[in-house]
Parts: sequence; structure tokens; C-alpha cells
Amino acid sequence: MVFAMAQIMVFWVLGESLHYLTDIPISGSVLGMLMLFFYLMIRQNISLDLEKTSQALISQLTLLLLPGGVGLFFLGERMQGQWLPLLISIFVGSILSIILSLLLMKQLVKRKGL
Amino acid sequence: MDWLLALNDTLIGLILHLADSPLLPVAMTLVAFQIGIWLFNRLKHPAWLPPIVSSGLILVGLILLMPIDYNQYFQGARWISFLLGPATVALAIPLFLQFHHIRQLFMPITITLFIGAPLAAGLSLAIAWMLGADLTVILSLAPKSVTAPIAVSLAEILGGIGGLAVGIVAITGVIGSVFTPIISRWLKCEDERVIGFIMGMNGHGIATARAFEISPKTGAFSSLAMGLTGIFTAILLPLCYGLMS
Repeated sequence: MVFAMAQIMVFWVLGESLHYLTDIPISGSVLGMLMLFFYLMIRQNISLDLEKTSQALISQLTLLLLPGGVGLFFLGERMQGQWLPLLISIFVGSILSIILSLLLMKQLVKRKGL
Repeated sequence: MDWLLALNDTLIGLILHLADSPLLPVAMTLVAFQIGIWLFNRLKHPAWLPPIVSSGLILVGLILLMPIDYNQYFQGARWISFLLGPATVALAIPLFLQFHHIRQLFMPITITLFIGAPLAAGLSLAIAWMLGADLTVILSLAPKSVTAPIAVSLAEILGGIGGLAVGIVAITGVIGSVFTPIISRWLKCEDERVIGFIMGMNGHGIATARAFEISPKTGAFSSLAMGLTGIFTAILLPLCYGLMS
């Protein structure tokens, strides 16, 4: 647990350092994830400890998002008149995107005869 | 009546003292979340009341009742949000474990990702822009199909609102998990790999949890799509935004 957590934190520090030093507009944690992914691809091997720790972290994502998510209810006048266009665009955009990407992938798989 | 006023003052003082450190904010977040999970199980897993909604509403109620505001609450509760960092880094592990599935359908997956992921963000952005939404709202909407921890950092990098992005991502996830199976039946698509991939690409973690209920294969492809879409969007979106502004 501690070893896996240390590994994860080291990759986060590396990602954050890269973000700070190069001005790449990608957050440090995402860069850390990319670096850890490439590290694992090169090693082609993962410890059970790291697998279990990542599962534990990811399974509690909802809790970790809760403090920020509550902020949604305290946006006040910044959101005046914004809710309706927002909800319409989420709903219509998502449905259209599902239909189009499904048709695309279905055709691609069919053409390849996979 | 004097003793009642004195009691009230003492109570307010106590709450302010407890909220001055992370103690009260962290404790109330954990308790509210536990009640949310308990409600979710008690009501037999209703899709309309996921734990994040019920526990979020409980927290809103508590913050309004107490003599503290949201900023004071968040100052302490940041102790919990901090763990979003390692949780994001840890997303590399499921992606690594599911990555071998990509070999089965390499070209269809690559082309669908390169066209579909910008589509998932772009269509909603275009509609919001046409309906006259504000720029901060549009920027919070941009990462809507991406798994929430990545979406929060993306929204903040772009200049959107993290909290709003969490809400938008949650709604998108519910739509992706409910409507992808219906639409695939309607379009006569029975390939579990395709259904899974489209679920993960449009509905991230929420749809992936649903995809694993359909079948392990659907879940594996959904999980793969969630990781690929997250990385692809996290790289592409800030670059596009940088070029446009």
C-alpha cells in the first residue's frame, strides 16, 4: 500500500514538474498518469500492490469529487439564465454523438470483417 | 431567554472552531457520503439518485444550516479533494490492464477515437454556443465526456469552473449509460465490443460501471475507451484552445 502510494506520488511529482517547467497546457496529474502508463508499457509488468492501491483510489472517486461537486450549488448569479442552454446542449449533443460514433465504428468493424 | 441566547452563541462558537480546521468539513463529507450510499442501497440502486446527488444535497443543506459558507467548507474539505491527484495518476493502471484489447480492433478503435472524441465534446459545445451560453459555462462543458478527475483539471486549465464540470460530467455519464444500449438496439448493432467502446467514449466511468453489468467484454472495451478518450481529450483540448485564443 505505502510502496504503491509512493510510486503514484512520485509520478504525480514528475508530471507536475514537467507541467511547471515546460508550460505544457496539460495538468500535472494527467502527465503523471501518462508517464506511469508508459513506464508500465515498457516494463510489461505490474505489482499486485499497485493494482490493489489503484483500485482502492478509483473505487472512491465519487467521494473524492464530492467537495468540488457541491460547489455546483453555490455558483449563484454566475449561472443565471445558463441552466437551460447547458442542459439542452448536454442532452442533444450527447445523443447525437452516441448515434454518429456508433454508426462510424459499426461501419469500420464491418468493412474490416472483424 | 438569556441562557438560550448564550447557548446559541456557544454553539456558533463551537461550529466555527470545528470548521476552522479540516476536522468538521472532512467529517461531514464522510458522513454525508455514507448516508448517500446507505440511501442508494436502501432504495435498491435507483439510477435517478446516485450517491453523489443525495450526499451532495445533504452537504448543501448542512452548509446552509451552519454559520459557514461554501469557501470555508472547501478550505477544509480540500483534504479529501487532494486525493483526486493520485486517483488520476492511478487511472494509468486500468488502461494498462485493458490495453491489449486494442489489438483486436486497432484501426476501427483509432479512427473512432480520433473522430468520435472531438465529436463528443464539439457537438455540445456548438449547441451551447448557438444557444448563447457564457464562455465560462462553455469551457466547463468542453471536457464533458471525460472521466471526472481529468475533466476537473481540464476545466480549470481552460478557465472553466471545476464544480460545474463535475455536474456536467455526471449528467453526461448517466445519458451515455442509459441511451447507448437503447440506441445500439435501434441501429441494429449487436457487437459487444462496439457497444462497450461507444459507452466508455461517451459516458466515461458511469457508463463503464453499467457496461460491466451487460458483460465483461462490454465492460473491458468501455474501460479501454474511457482511458483513451481521457488521455486524447486531455492533450487535444488545451492545444486546440491555445490555438484558437
